[in-house]
Amino acid sequence: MEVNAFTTESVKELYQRHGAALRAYGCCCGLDFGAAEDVVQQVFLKLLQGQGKLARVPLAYLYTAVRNAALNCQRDRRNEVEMPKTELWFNHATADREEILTLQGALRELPEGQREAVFLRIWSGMTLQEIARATATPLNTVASRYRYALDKLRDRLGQAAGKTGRGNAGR
Amino acid sequence: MQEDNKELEQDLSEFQPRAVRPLELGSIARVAWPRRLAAAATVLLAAGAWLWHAGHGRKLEQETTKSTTRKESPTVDWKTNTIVLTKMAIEDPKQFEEQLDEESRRVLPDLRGQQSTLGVFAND
Repeated sequence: MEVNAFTTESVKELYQRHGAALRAYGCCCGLDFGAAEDVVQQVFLKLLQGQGKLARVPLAYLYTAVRNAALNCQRDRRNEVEMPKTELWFNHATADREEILTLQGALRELPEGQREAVFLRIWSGMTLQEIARATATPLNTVASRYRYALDKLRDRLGQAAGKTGRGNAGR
Repeated sequence: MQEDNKELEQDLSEFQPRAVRPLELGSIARVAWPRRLAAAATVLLAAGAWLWHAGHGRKLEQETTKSTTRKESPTVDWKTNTIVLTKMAIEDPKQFEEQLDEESRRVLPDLRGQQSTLGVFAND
């Protein structure tokens, strides 16, 4: 696998473009908002310190690094009292707080592979082919995971919209 | 179905992850300065050791020179003595003879006594 050391500028640019999505992903992995932000910062700072190396497709590396760091963080905090998951990781022009929390809950319930596929596709803008290459997963598997994830999100968001009689996603 | 997916993708992409705080590069500087300090201390230590070693070497060299000078000094003394002895030989031959006897006992092998060089040979 080709490995490149990234410059400070390129790491900062990656952070600006994908930091927010990565933090939301960290939240999906079970971290609270502040901890997820700290984890993302740590991942990028390690890159800048040269402790980490980016693979050819850095986004997949970053998502994996955030997930691993989130798991480590959760392991360290397993004896702490879990905070209620009411923090908002997303903004929306018209959706209310309840709808955002519903989406967050639905994302959190997805299996890991499906959740990763959704984040990489929707919020990091990768194509399914790029995701397959980046995660070293067959394209059909990635496509299936993504499709299943969308089905689950649609059901979940549709149910929530049905209950409240409104909603953006899952209409 | 694909239409539905496109619509859902569009809806989901309207949810934007909340902005992150800027990358805190200051913490890298905080991590880096102890390393720099350690490197500077190492350099200072090495330079100090080198200077001490160089100074110590010079001191040793000086001491060696001094001791060499000291070793050579009997020759100088001897030369001085020669002048003194010459003067003594002219002015006071008796004292000169005594002085020669004294010097010969100190410089030449001792011929007197049981343990003198010749005494040992004679016993053999």
